[in-house]
Amino acid sequence: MSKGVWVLADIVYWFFYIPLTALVVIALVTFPQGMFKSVVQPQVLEAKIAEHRLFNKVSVFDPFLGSRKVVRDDFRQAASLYLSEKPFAYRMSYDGEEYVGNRDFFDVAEPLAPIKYQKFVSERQLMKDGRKVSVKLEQVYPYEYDFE
Amino acid sequence: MMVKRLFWNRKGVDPSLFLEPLFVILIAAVVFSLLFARLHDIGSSTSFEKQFFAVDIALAVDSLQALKPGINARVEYLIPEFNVLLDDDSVLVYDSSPEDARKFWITRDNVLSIKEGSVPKNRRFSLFKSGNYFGIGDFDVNGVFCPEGRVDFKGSLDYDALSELGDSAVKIFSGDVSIYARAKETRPVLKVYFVGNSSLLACRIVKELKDEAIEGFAIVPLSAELVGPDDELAVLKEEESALFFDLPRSARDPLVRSRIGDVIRRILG
Repeated sequence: MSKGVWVLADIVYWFFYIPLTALVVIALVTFPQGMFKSVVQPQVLEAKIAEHRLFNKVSVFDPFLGSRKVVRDDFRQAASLYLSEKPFAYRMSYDGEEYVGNRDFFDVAEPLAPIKYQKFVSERQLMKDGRKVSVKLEQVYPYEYDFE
Repeated sequence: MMVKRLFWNRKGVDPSLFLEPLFVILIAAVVFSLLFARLHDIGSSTSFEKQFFAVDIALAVDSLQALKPGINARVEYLIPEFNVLLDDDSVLVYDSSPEDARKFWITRDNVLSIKEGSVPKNRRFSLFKSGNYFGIGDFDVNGVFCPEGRVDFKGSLDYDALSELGDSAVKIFSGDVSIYARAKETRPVLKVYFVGNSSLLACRIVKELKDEAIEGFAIVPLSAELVGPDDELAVLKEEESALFFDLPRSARDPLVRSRIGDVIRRILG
């Protein structure tokens, strides 16, 4: 075989087969890890649970009539939760009324969403003083929790 | 002899013929042993399972807190491999000691109180939300939820009237709110009728009394037009804020009467 063919074989060897092998090895290690991690990164589910929870909390509850689609008078207190160390924040607002849970994290994360953080927005129509108001909930979570 | 023939001829020895495959085999051996070691680590470690259970339990706890206030519910778990600890702000799942635990956070509600606890491995346990409580442990299906808020009524308890509790209604509390009671009902149920803004007070009292051999309860706003003149409930028509307790006959017991008195005194100062 000519020298040119050997040079080509060397190029293929170093620039194709070895990187390909490296790629396969990296994939074999990272795929299972990625699959495992995605199961324990439940931000979408958390956001849905928090949405139901917060809208329930700001709605009037009567021991006799149950929950009603009316915004409570103590909106800010109703929208508050005891927050843990979890990197998560939310803002609930309607008609100029606003409550922010974990404001420090919210101020940092909200402008960076959706690049660095995930943001979930939901809106519901509730009644207040006899008229319909739109109550908005914005939640921000990191894309990945650091469990290490 | 064979090896010699393979790599040697009259022109000499070409070392690359055996060094190159050797090099490739060596590199492949190193790479694959690292790969298998890593995969073995992933497969044999329990940290993923622990993390998974911690996340799962924490989400169940948060979901229970997301229920509408009047709903009581429980979720049963059995985790054979690990111990579980529910504390103030997180769920920990561990093998032998909390130091090797994996954790996930819960988000507590300021209206609900937590019942913390730990469960050893291989034991069935319940996560529950009942009334104003949530947590781990025994579930009370009849838990009563009362919204937050102040009960500001003032007045005095009439112990003599309370001691006469029987078929006929007696006024046991007078003041900003009036409380009437009778112990006529043959079934072990408690009905409370209210007028005015006394529903929260009714809820608080029922919550305290519901364990007194009562199987069910109802808090009902009184509709004045449905009350006939001979009905004892008619006493509420003249009141701004009042409660009428329709108690089971078991409430005639001096111990139960005394408990009713204690509860009312504690709630109304």
